Amino acid sequence: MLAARELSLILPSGRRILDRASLSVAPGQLTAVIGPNGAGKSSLLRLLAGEARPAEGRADLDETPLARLRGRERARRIAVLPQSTHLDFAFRVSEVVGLGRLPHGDDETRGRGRAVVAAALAQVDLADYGDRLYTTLSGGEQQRVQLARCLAQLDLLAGERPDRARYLLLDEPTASLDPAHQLAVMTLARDLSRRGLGVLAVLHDLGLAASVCDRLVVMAGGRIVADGPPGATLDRGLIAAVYGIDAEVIANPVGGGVLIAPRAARCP
Amino acid sequence: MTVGTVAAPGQDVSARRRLRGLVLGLLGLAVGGAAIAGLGLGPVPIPPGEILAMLFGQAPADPTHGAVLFAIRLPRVILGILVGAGLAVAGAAFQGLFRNPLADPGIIGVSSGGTLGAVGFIVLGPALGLDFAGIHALPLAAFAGALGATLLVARIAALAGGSTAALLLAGIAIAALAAAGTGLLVFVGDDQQLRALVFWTMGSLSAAPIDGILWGLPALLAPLVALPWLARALDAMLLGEREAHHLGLDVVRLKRIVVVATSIGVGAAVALAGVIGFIGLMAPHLARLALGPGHRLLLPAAALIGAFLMLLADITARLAVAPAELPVGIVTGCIGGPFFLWLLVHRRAGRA
Ligand SMILES: Nc1ncnc2c1ncn2[C@@H]1O[C@H](COP(=O)(O)OP(=O)(O)OP(=O)(O)O)[C@@H](O)[C@H]1O
Ligand SMILES: [Mg+2]
Repeated sequence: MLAARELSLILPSGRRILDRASLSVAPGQLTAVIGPNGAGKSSLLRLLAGEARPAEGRADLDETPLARLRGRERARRIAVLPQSTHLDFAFRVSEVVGLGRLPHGDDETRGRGRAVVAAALAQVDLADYGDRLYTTLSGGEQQRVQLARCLAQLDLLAGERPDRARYLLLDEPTASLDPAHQLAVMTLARDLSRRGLGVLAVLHDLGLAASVCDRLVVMAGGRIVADGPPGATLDRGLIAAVYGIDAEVIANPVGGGVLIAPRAARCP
Repeated sequence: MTVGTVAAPGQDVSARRRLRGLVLGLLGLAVGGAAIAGLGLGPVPIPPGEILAMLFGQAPADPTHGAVLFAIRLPRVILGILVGAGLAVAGAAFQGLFRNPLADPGIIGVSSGGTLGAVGFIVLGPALGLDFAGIHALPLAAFAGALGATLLVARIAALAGGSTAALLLAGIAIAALAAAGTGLLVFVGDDQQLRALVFWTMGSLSAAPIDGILWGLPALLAPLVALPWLARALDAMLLGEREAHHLGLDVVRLKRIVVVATSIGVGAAVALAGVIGFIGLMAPHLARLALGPGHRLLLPAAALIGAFLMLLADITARLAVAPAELPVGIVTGCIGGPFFLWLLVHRRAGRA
């Protein structure tokens, strides 16, 4: 279990970017974190990735504080897709994905590393892109390569189930993707959770989040204001309270899941 | 997602690996050729065959040739190889650490601190009762200046929050201070001191005595030995510091090791050969164009290119105005500047 326990992150000015946020990422579950810009979603993810130390509270992996884990041990169990990654150096795509093999001590050129990297590229629909230069890809393709790097880091081949729970933290994984690949990436995230991974994804598309995720965590102003199954969590009142817009949550009549239909967007 | 045919990444991986091996092999040969040229060319020319014979232990056919080779040219060529390779590897590692192809160990004050140390010793030494007689004293003063400046920069940067920007800004400030101090010393120095220090600030492979080189050997080798172990970690740093952390690296420790290893190596290079510009930028850049940004190949390739360029520059410095000799830093600047501009204009689309 990857757990945030009463995490707070406090600026020198005294402002609480995160205010006693508690959350556990459960293996086998796909959890979406939603909330307005500046709500603290990425900050929560940073603490769960062991990147920064909380001012208060703890982030634990199986009851061990993240700060006490050795980097390599942590990296074998937790992979993170940041909100944006800027890479200016002309690596080949397979080399970038191969960097995910760093905690495992191999690379994309031989053995298990080679197979895992190939499988990861295939999973993000870039099977033939291994030899392309990363710098020549489109924004969405680059985003998918970074996701493949995370998959290579989690070290799974088709059909394998991890012996110890592993976690995938995704910060807006669909932000620059076309509708087909948005759906594909979230379906992949869901499949991975079904294979025992704990997956946490920060999303802005409420309809997508409510349709594919098992659980919605809603943040606003540094706090977790709601947490539960999408059907019981996302409704007109919550959307109005958190985003300040009037929108109806309606069942998707053609494809299952839900649609978010704004009645009127209020521009401040 | 669609799981189509799972193609192995890089079906021509092995072809590419062979090509890379070939490139490294050719670079090695080039360095060997340049070394033979460096050993043979000069006021007393020695043919390659004779050089090889002497190097492999045969008694010299001509005693003068033996003396020139072993006492004058060999130390110089060895120093050239070590300094060129060291500057290139240090430059490549810094560029990786700072994710900037224009970074150079100079930005943390190594060169300017070393210059201040050396110039301070030349100008103030006699007044303080220190003398040129101690042959190791000047390189030691330069080395102390180089490391002192780097430590100061690192310390200040840590106090200012430890970010990369803090390190760069502290480096700029300390370099400016050291340059001002150097300027002041130049201003008060006498003519003879000025001649000594001009040669030194513009770099030369001629000044270092053979036993000085032997003393400096461990320091010169530090980056060449330490940094290749960090090649994968430097690759990860190119993704970004956060990403490197996610991949399990201790970023703070990595930065510390790179800064320490490079400042020891560059400090020793500055101490023994003065300030030599452009090798640290040019060699990694060329290596990246030929082999891509991955550090496992980039570091050895940059080292070989750096050594080759350094030898070439030294030969030019010795022959261009014979029997006099140019400071080698002037040659690297003269070749490096235009070359860089040419690259800038013509190779924008390269793999660098
Ligand atoms: N280092 C920092 N210094 C000052 N403020 C910060 C810092 N880091 C984050 N913040 C502030 O904390 C708040 C939360 O930031 P965070 O990145 O977690 O938001 P988010 O929920 O991910 O937003 P978005 O949807 O825009 O990505 C923001 O208001 C941001 O400005
Ligand atoms: Mg964010």
